[in-house]
Amino acid sequence: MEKIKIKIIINKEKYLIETYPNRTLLQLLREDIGLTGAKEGCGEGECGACTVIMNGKAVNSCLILVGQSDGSEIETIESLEKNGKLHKLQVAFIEAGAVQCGYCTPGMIMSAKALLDKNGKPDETQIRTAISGNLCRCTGYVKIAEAIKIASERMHKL
Amino acid sequence: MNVEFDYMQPNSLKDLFQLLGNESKIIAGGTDLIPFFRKTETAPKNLIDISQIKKLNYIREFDDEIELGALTTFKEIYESEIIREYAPGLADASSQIGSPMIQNRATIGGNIANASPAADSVLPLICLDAVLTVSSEEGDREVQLEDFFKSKGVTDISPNEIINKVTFFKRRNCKDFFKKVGLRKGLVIATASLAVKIVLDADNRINHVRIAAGSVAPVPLRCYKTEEYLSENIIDDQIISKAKDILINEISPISDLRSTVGYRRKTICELLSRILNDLLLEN
Repeated sequence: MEKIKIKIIINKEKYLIETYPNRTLLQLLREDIGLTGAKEGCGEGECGACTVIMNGKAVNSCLILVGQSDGSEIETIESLEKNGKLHKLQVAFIEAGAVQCGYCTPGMIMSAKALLDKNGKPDETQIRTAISGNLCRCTGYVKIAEAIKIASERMHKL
Repeated sequence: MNVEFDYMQPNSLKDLFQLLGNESKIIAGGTDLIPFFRKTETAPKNLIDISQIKKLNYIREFDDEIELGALTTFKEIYESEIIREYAPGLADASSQIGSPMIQNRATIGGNIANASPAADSVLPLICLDAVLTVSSEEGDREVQLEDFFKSKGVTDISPNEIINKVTFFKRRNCKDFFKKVGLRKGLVIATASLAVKIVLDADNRINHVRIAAGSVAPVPLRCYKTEEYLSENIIDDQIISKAKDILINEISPISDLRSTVGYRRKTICELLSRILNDLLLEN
C-alpha cells in the first residue's frame, strides 16, 4: 500500500500530511493531529459521534477516507472555544443540561453548528432533523433541542 | 481500517477509464463502501476515488427531461427546486436517506450501484421510468433503471464501466408519493417502502400508474401486475382492497434482522392503501 499526500485545513491551520490511504478522516484528526473531540462510536455512520464540518457541511468523519478530505476545510469541536471563551452553543448545552455522559456532545454540537451557520432561526422540526443522525442514549434529546434553540436565539440577537 | 488498498483519485473521465478493471473498485461518497470494508475486512487491490470528478455532479433541466450526474448528493437533490417541482417523490425519498451527514456525502450513482433492495432513491426513479447512462472507454450505453438490478448487490455493469448519469422525464399533471417504514425515522434502512406515480383523468380514472416496492424482493421491484390492475379503474375501497391482494402476490419478501415476511407483506399493502387513500382525499 502506497502512502498518499494530502493538503488539509483543520480549524484554520494548514497541514501537509503523508499517510496511508486506508486511514479515515477521524483517525487523522484523533491520532495524527491529536484532536480527540470527535469520537468513534459505531464506526459506520449510524451514531454521529464523529461528526465534523467539512467545507461547511456536517459529515461523519469515520466514513471519509483521508484521500477524500484532500483540499478540504475541516472544523472540529476544538475550534469553537476562543481564548477561553466558550461558543454560544457550548454555553447553551451546559445551561440547558444537554450534556450527560458527554460522548455524543461534540457531534451534536457540530451538527447544530452546521445548521445554525445556514439557518439562524431554525424551528423545532429543523433542529430535530439536523440532529437526527446523532444518537444520544442519556438525555432523550429534549434538552439538546432546547439548548440549540437557546443558542440560536442568543446568536440571532447579535 | 483493517484493510489495504492502493488509492487513486482521477480528475477526469478519461483518466478514470484507464484505471478501471477487475482489480479496481469505485468509491464516491463512501457511506456504504467504508462500512462494508470494515465489516468484511476485504477491499479491492485498487480503490478509485471518483469524488473529484466534478463533471459528474450536476442537476440539468431540459424542456422535457432532467439529468442527474452520478455524483449528485442527496442533499443537492432534495434541495433542488427543479427536483421538488418535477420529481417530488424523488425529493422526498432523498430527504429520508440515512441522516443529514449521510445526505451530504452519499450520491445517487452510489445508491444505484450498491443495488440494495432497500435503496430509497431507486423506487421513485423507477416510477419516473428513469434511464441510466453507463459509460466506458468504448462509449455510452443506456439501460432502463428497473432492468439494471440483477439480484441483491448485483447489477448489469462490467468492471470497465461506470454509472455516468440518470435521466428521466419531467413529471407533469401527476401525483407521486414515497412512503417508507422502519423502526425509527432517522438513519433507518427501510423495512418496507413504496413509491407510486399516478395520473388521473378528469373523472378520477387512473390513466397512468407506476408502482415500485423496496425491501420486499431481491431487487427494487416494479409491480407490473398491480399497475395493470389499477389502470383504467376509478379508486374506491373495493379497488384498493383488490390491488392489495395482487401486490401481496407480486412481492417475495424474506425474514431477516429487520423484519419478517408476514410483517413486510402487511406493511407494503398498508403503504399502498395509505397512498391511494391520500389520493382519494386530495380529490
